[in-house]
Amino acid sequence: MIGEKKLVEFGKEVLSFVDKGELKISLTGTESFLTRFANNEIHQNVAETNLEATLSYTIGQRVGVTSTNDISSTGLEIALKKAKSIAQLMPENPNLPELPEPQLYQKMEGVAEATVRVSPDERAQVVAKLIEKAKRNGANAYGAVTNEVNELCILNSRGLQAYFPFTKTEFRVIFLKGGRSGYGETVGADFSKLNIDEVSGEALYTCLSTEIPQTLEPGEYEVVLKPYATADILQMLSYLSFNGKAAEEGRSYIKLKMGSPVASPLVTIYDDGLDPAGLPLPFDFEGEPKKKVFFIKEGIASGLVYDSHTAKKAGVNPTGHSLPSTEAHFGAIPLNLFMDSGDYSLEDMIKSVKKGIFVTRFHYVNPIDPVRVISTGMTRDGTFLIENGKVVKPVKNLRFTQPFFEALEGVEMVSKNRSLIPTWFGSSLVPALKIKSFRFTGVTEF
Amino acid sequence: MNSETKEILNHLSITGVEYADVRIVKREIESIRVKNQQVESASVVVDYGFGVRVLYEGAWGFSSSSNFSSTSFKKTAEEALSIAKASTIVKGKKVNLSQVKPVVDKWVYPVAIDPFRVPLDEKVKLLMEAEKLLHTSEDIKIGEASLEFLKQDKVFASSNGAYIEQSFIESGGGIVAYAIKNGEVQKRSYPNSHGGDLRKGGWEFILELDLPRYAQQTGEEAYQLINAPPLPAVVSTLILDGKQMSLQIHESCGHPTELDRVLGTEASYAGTSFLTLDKLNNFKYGSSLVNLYQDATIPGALGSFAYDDEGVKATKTYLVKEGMFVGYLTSRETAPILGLDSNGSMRADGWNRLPIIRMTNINIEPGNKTLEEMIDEVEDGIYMCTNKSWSIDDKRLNFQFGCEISYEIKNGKLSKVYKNPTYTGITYEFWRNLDALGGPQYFRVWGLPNCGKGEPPQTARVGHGTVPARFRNVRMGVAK
Repeated sequence: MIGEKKLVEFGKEVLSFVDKGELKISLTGTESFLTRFANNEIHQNVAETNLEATLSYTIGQRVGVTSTNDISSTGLEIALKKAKSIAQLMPENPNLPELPEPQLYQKMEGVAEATVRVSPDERAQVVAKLIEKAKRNGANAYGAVTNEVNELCILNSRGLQAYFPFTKTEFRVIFLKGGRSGYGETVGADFSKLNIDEVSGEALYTCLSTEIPQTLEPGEYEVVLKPYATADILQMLSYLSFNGKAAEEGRSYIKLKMGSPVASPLVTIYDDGLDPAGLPLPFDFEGEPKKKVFFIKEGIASGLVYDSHTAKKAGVNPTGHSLPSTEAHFGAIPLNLFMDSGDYSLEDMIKSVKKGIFVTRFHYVNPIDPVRVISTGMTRDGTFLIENGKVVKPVKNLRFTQPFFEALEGVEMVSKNRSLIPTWFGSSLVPALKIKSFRFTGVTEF
Repeated sequence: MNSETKEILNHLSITGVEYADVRIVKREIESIRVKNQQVESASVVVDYGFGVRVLYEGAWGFSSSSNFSSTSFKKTAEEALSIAKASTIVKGKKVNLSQVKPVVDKWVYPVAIDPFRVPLDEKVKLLMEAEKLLHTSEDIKIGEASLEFLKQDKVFASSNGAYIEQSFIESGGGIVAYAIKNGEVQKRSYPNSHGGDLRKGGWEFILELDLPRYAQQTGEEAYQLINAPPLPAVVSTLILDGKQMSLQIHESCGHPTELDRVLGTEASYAGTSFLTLDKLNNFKYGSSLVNLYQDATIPGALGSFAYDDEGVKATKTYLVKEGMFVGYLTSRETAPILGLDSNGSMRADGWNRLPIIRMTNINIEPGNKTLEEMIDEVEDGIYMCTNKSWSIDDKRLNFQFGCEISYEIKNGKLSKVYKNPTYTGITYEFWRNLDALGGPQYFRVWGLPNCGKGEPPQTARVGHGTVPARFRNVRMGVAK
């Protein structure tokens, strides 16, 4: 780790070179490690050390952005000059927001020492144990173990100063045996608390306890979705519907239906960057403190996330969900999603299904209609037929073409237990769901 | 850079190290986006660093850093070695690398007009002009115009004595009109979706694209779409334009022929492939008209280069010949499994990523029909243009694509416009139903800048040379 003192000094030095206008500098330090395994052996094993500086230079109503990881004095001088010259050449943007003033942030711990200290040998030992388990059962293991240490430091010409170091560690595994597969995935800040045994045990059980999948005719079925599949739905909604930019452009279903029902009353979805049950981060890439935002509260469309740009246009305050300046055109994205738990066990849900499908996870989900979030994708790594309250047999993977808001309207049961699932940059803490109807439109050969 | 690469490789001249290579990569990317007559973003990103790959007692390690100092060179090389040593704890089969002649070479792709020297205000002016013309009606609520330029200098050096420098510039751009009405969004793009079109080359390519010239038509088509009926569900004849063909080839031929996927090393993320080893030279992938090949030697194509990231010279090889599946995209580690040398498909997304098998330019050989002839021979069918959505299963069999626009074909003529067109199928069944291909006059290599694969995630810039094609018995219109 570089540390707060060095990063702040470094940032202040860059700020001191600003002679006209204002600057925001964000510094991101990364040390990341990943051990990847397949066919019961380690085949990729990598490390990266990087420090990037992203500069947003504002002159009046004009802004220029540069980013560099050449942090030599020459590299930074070039980046600063370039940002300034871009700003000078830009047309005026009357909607350009002002830089935030200094803020107070909630104190929290983001670094788990166990994650910082993980060695390549320790990651390899985790994999070795897993592979031994796979071999004992005649299966093959595929997956990855990661650990990373990140530092985010933001300063601006108005005196704002923010620093937060945090760790992240992920584990995922697929067991394959013949035509059968099982999947498990988890994420956390602390490597020593990662529930690798539980997740891999469940994945191996799914793989081993089934027979060769049979073909099931596509159609409308009741479904029970494991948390991996729930997380996929939320991820799609976070970009397309919860984003203040989507609202500004007239394509957010939440905005169009604000205050009205968009889901079953059992559904409550929110973002909370301060909740330690997720992967907390006290501020966003503009240095705005994270606010808790409800998107759907007991089925009612309730709110959106905003960065300073979308907030200004909407006439509201930023919520602390901006992206890095180089990605700001995507708008504001919630990175710490939560869905409230319910009262049921997975077994209760399965028991309630007359004829339906149990889905472990989705694959390659893409939207067809961004407003209603009609999405298509495949099931993967464990799809089963449920009949009269019992899982009766594995079925070949199915393609769905389903409006996700309609799926949320059809939520009939929510699980007590939730799982933390990694997403693009953050995580989702989500339950399993029972949905009364899900539209499957195709089937594949395995 | 020769002294730096030597210094790094010297740290790995020790017993047990069977092979090592180092890449130093510097990238500069300039992006400008205009939306509704405002510059939404204008940025320059510089990314510079080095990555070290080492094979120790048959196991791989890789480490990378953006810190250029002797201390960092030593630390990073030693880290790559210690990671490789850790890999030996769960070592599998011995790694055999196919032979490659160590080359000392320098390759610079020429540009007529360096886009990084074109003044920023000239770029903004072009985008403003094009974006303004998209707004052909009040229903066009959003217009977007964008340009992207990439400059890359890469050095590759190996413990076998290879030292290769490669430099190129890529340029691209596009426009998109969004018609939004009553909670519905329809979009139309030019020259293609996914950021337009990109090529190795300079500002001359942007001038060739002539974004303002096509803006009005793009806006008008978006307006047509928002007022059009949706494509009804039907099983019929489908003609795809060359742009949608690029995605069809990408997902259903490019990815499944990556040999690392076939061997299972992408199973935990993007998946595997239905084109298993037993199918090589033994599987009817498509109709006899289907000839698909990878070619990294096409001048100006986005997936072209002189050498891959293992120092293997760019090649052209067939993947599907007269409908039969005949080849994979390979690397030095995977090709020997087939008794072959690598065909040079290993590329990394920058300095901080390990090279993995990536598409180069995956192309289809043209046929001999004009588009008019292909349409004229259809009594009932649909013509679809420009990709909008894509999804395919983890063995690359069951796919579903959405296009921006479609036209009914009735008695050999194009008639009404349908919105939300989608089609679905099983890869080999679909390609076996191909019965006509456009002639060489339609052949164009489309640049696709966003191919995702690998862990940690990597993005590759690839190309697809395509012509329009006709397929029979296709299921369409499943989205409601």
